[in-house]
Amino acid sequence: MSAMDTKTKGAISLKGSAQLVQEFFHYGLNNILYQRGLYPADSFSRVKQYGLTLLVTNDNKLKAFLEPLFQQVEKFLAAKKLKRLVMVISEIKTKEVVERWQFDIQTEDINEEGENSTRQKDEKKIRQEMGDVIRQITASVTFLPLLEVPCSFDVLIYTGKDTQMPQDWAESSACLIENAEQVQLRSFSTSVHSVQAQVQYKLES
Amino acid sequence: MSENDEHIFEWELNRENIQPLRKGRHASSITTLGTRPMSASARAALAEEKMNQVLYSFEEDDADKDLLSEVITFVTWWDHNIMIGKQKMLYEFLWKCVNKLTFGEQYKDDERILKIWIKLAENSLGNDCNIFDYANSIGSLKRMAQLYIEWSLTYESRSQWAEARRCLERGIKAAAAPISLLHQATDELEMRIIRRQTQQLEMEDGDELEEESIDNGERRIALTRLCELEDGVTPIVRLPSISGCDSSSKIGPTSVKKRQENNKFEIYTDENEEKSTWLENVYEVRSQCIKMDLVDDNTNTTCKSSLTSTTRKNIVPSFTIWEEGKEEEKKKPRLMLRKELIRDGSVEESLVERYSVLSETLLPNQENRPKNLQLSKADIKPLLFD
Repeated sequence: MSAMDTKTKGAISLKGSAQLVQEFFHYGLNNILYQRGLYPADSFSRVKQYGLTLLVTNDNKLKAFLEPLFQQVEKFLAAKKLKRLVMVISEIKTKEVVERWQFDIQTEDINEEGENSTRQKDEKKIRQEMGDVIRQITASVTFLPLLEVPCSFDVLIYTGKDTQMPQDWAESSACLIENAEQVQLRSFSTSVHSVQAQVQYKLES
Repeated sequence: MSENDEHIFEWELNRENIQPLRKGRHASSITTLGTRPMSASARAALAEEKMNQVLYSFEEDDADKDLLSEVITFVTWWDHNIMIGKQKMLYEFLWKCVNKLTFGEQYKDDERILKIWIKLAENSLGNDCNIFDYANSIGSLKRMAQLYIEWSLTYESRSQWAEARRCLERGIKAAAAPISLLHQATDELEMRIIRRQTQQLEMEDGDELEEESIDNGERRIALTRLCELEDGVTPIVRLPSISGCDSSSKIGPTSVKKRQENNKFEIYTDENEEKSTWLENVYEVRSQCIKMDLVDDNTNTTCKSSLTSTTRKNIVPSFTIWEEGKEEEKKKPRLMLRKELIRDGSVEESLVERYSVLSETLLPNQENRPKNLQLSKADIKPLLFD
C-alpha cells in the first residue's frame, strides 16, 4: 500500500501520514541503536532509505520487541493520540539514564474521512526532511559521550489521558536526566504530523 | 528552514572533521561551532597563547600554585573549543607538561594526572600503548587500578589479547587500588576474548559451509559430454554430443527435448528446419569421427591397443564409397531379377521356389542337418538379393 492516500498528486491523509511517521521511527530508532552501540554492529544489516544507507537490526528478539511497538505507534498516530515518543538509554548496572532521544509530535486538526481529510505536501519532500533528521542523528556522535558501560534502552510513549493502553504496557516515570546537556535536532512535517527531535545526555564534569 | 537555523546545524556538515570525545562535549560548544564567532586560525592563535601562559607558569617557582589543575583546565577548554585538527600542537604541549609534572613527587600519585595520560595517548597517533608504558616506567600512578585498565584497553583495541591480560596482571601484582576494579576488568576482558573467538569460529564454520555447498551442488554442469566408443574409449577427434537423461550419446529430437527440460540452458532449435536436414548434419559428423578412428589404426599406437578386433567389427559405417560405373553394374541385375520374378509369376510362388532351391544348396544332406537350425527370413533375405 502506498503511504499516500491520494485524491490528487501530493495529497496526504491522516492514515498515510501515520504510516510515514511510523516508518521514520522504525529507521530512526534502529539507527540510534546502531550508532550508540547498544547492540553488536554485526547484528545490523544495511538498507537504502531516504537516500541514505541505514542499518536495521537482524536480532529476532529485538525485532519482536520493536514490531508490535511500531504497530501501536501507527495506531496512536492515526487516532491523533500520540504526543511524544522518547527513547531512553540507561546503564544496566546502575539503572541511571544517560541519554534521552525525544520526538515531540504535533497533529493537525484533520478528519479521517470526508471533508478536511487531506493536506498537500510532496512525498519526496517529506522523505527528504526525514532523511535530514536521521543524518543528524548519525552526526551526533561528534558530541555525545561514548557509552563505555553496558546499557539498555526503553521507549516511552506520551498520549492523552483517555487513551487505552495495550495490556502488556505499563506506566512509567519520565526518566529525566539531571543537569542534562540538550541539543535541538532538525524537525520534519508531513503537513499532518510535525515531529521535532532533540537529544538530552549526561556529561561528566 | 530559515538561514539562522542552517547556521545552528552547521556542526552537522563538519562532523567528519570533529574528533569525537570519550566524555562527550557541551551542547554550547556545538552551537558555537555553527555560529562561527571566530575563525579556525584565530582559535589556534588563542590556544597557543593559552598554552604559553600555562608553560610560563611552570617556570615560576611558586609552590602554592596547582600546576596540574591549570593543565586540566586548559585541556577542558581545548576539548570544547578546538574540535578540528591541531593534534600535534596539543601532543607537544602535553608532553612538555607531563615531563615537568611527573618528575616531581607532588603529582606522581595524583589521580588527576590520568586525564593527561589519556589525552596524550589519544593524540599520540597510534603510540598509545607506549605512552602508558612510559607512565608506568617512570612510576606515575603505580598504585592506581584505572591506569592499568586504560593501558589494557589500548592493547585490546589492537587485538593483542595476551598483552592486555598482562597489563591487568601487572596492576594486580603492584597491588593497585581498588583491586576489585582490576578483577572486574579481568573478567570482562576474558569474556570479550571468548566472545570474539566464538564469533571467529562461527564465521570460519560459515565459510566452510559455503565452500561445501559449492562442492555439493553449485558446480557448473557441462553442456555436453564427449562422444565415446565402446569400452569407454573416446575417439581422437572429440566432437561434442548431447548427453541425455539415460546417458546415451545419441542425438535425436527427444533427447534434446529432455535435455532442455532438465537443463537450465535452453538450446536453440529451429522448428522450421526440416527433420531430414537437421539429422543429416549430425550423422555426417559422427561418420567422420568413426572414419578417423579406423584410419588411425597404424599411426596411433595407444589408440590401436585400446581398440579390439571385436570393436572394429561392430562398427558399422553409415556410408559407402561411391565409385563411378560400379553402382550401375550392381544395381542392374537386381532390377532384372525383380523383373523376372514379376514376369514369371507371383512373388509368393517365386519365394517358395527359391526357398526349396536354397535349402538344397546350403544343406544338401537333410539327415545331417542340425535340429535346432532354422533359417529365418532375415537370414535368407540378403542371400536372396545377392
